[in-house]
Amino acid sequence: MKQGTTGRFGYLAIALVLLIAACSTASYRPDPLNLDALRQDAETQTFAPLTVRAAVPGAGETEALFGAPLYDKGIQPVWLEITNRGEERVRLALVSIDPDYYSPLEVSYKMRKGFSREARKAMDKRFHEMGIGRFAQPGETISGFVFTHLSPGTKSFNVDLFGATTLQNFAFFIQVPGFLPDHAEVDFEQLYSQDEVRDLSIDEFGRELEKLPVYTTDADGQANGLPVNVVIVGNGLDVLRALLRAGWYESPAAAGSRNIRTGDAPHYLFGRRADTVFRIRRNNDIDRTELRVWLAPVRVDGEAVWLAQVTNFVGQRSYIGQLFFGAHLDPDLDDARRFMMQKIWYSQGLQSFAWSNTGRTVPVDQPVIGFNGNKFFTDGSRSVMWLSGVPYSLLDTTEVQWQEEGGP
Amino acid sequence: MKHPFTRSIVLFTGIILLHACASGPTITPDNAGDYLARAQSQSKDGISVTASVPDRDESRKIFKTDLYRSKVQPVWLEITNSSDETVTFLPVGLDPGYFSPTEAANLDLKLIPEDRSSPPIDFGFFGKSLKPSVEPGETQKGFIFSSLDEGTKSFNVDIIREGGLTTFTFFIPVPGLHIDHYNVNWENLYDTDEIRDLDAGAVRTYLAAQTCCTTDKTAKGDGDPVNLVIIGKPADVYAAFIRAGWDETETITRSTTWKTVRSFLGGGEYRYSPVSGLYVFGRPQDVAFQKARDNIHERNHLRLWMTPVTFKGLPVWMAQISRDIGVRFTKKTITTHKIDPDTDETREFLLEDLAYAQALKKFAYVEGAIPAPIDKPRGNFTGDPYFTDGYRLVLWVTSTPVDTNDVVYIDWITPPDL
Repeated sequence: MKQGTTGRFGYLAIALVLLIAACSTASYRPDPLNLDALRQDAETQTFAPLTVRAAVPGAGETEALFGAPLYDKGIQPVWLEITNRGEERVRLALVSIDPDYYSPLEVSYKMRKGFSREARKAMDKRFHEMGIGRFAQPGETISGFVFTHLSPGTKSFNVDLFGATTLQNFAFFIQVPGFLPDHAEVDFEQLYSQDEVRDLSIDEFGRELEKLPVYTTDADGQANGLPVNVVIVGNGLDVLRALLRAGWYESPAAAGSRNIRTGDAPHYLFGRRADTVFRIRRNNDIDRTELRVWLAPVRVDGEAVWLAQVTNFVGQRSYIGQLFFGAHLDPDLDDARRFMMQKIWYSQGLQSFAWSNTGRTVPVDQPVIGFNGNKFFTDGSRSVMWLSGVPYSLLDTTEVQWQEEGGP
Repeated sequence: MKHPFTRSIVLFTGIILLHACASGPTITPDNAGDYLARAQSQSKDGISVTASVPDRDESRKIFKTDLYRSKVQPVWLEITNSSDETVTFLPVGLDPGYFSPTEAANLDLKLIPEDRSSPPIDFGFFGKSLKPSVEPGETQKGFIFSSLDEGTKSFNVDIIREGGLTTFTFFIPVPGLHIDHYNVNWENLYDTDEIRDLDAGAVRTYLAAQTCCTTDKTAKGDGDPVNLVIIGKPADVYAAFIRAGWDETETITRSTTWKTVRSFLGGGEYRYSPVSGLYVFGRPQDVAFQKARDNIHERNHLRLWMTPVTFKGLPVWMAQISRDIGVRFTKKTITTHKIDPDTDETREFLLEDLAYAQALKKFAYVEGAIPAPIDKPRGNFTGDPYFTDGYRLVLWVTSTPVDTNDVVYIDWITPPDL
């Protein structure tokens, strides 16, 4: 009896092996290598004597370049060109671009399925040649690809070049063809008329904060949703860069009006849905926290002001688990707020901060329920954050003091 | 005009101020008593921190649910503030992906009975969680819910004060795994008269003369290239790799075999999976570390063998690193991990990995492995081809953090392609 089972499995295994062998006959014929389009789109940054050019091919372009659908395996190639006009050799640290980057032959191995033996050799050769080297000698230009983990939306990465005693850091934010973020569809210039927008001094802003809406509402503006627990100050690009650097990622345009994680109806502020939504993942895992952002009709010393709501997700730790049992919002809003602020601070995006109290404390043992049925509790504080698009040393972050002391 | 930014938080980071104890970190768990008996304490800047990590059974008793199964690990902290200002603990510094108490309480969340929209607030979790703010003269204690690390838990406790940031670093061995290095008696690995301290010239000659490649049990054959040399005390080696995110390795027992099979079939993560023995000095590796990437088949393996020589008083280790890029079938061992043939790429990755974790002081190269060009690769025991320039990377590791900028290159010999 036992033997019979083994035997059947044996036949099955042989059949499977034959099937795989029969399928593994495809030859490897990528398009002739043409990097002109990439080169043309590349962004250039120079810190004399070093110049770095970077580009990120979209899914289709990547498949054409490598003859294999890398994006389907969660791999995103980044093209770099490094020119060293200095007098000492520099070393490119590949881990600065992605600490868990894939080696070229690893990617080739991952993509081998279905190719014949000869084709696999050709693939190995192609991938190995297209990987970038680590060293640029004086006067030399090197170029090639680094294979990174696919990130949704704008690709944000560092490029660190080391000399014998020097380190030069480059930071890139590159729009990837084939992805349109939600904020690209909003015409921020047209959201408010010129006379609607008031430009305030810092002190006026401190007082104004108390008048800004405390809660989001449902579509009719009738029922309260959740507290607006974050205020961001900074111009669009600076805010975007600070968020990307802290690991937040963008939502695609036309993501739909319902929350794609929880199925909740959208929150409204200033009579409209959030202008843009960002999420952050835990260790490349599942979404941990969501940030909904609205441009406010207020400016501080010429800088844009954004109202935002940050909430954690609660639920099973896998996509499958969440698919079956759903994701929910964490009633602990203060944790989400602290988490968001600390993420920004640790990634050097926080120039200064302040606290503002809405006076609406909701104790943990008497939670309030918003229009979506989401329970929450909070100490009633809002964090106000001035964000920086370029790294701002943790040593230099300052706290803004209002006339009256705010929250924690 | 009064400047609005009156209070400046001088965040003295210096990127990390690890508190290296003179004796080095503890590297084996104390099995006596409960988690509080294993607690470690550190103090500075008027702040005392005591930390401990309950093992699987202890957390089950405390929280009435199997948090380890959901890959969540509670960390117990007690923070006493003897300064005259309020201080705040930053959980993101301990784990950038930490869990909020309500989230940790709801990881096995199925359907929500009452209103289907909001998870219940579990006061068992919320009440036991640590409050981040500590007033002058006060003590706060409670749990932070972090991502699971079995073996040794290493983490920072960052506390922000008005005058700056104070960082405490802990390495806490947690009971529950059969880690390979628990069984090694470092003191008795060599007789006292076998151990020689060498100067730079002599150590280079010694290292170049060591075996090119690992061997099998009978000291025959050529396996993977011995492409690394590590210099440092066992506690430094341990702290450096743990801080860089490497996992320890279990020895083969019935339970670890089962865990390996389960993870092999399911493709899941068993980060501490036993590794096969490769031989140098006629013995299998003294200790192995591994760094898991996307799944069990994709990880880096590192094996170390302590040599009988020291360099300026520090132990010298031969080591070998490979990047597993998948799994394949062989006649000899049925299945084996396919390694990246570009072993120099893997070697250079390790240099960057340790440097970015601030675990590296100095590095150099020596000869000793056998060069194998890409078009004439050599093979290891399981028939995997590899190519290399034949140099070994020498790494001086540290348990006290060194800024990535300050890593020093010692020019013994520079491989022509680097």
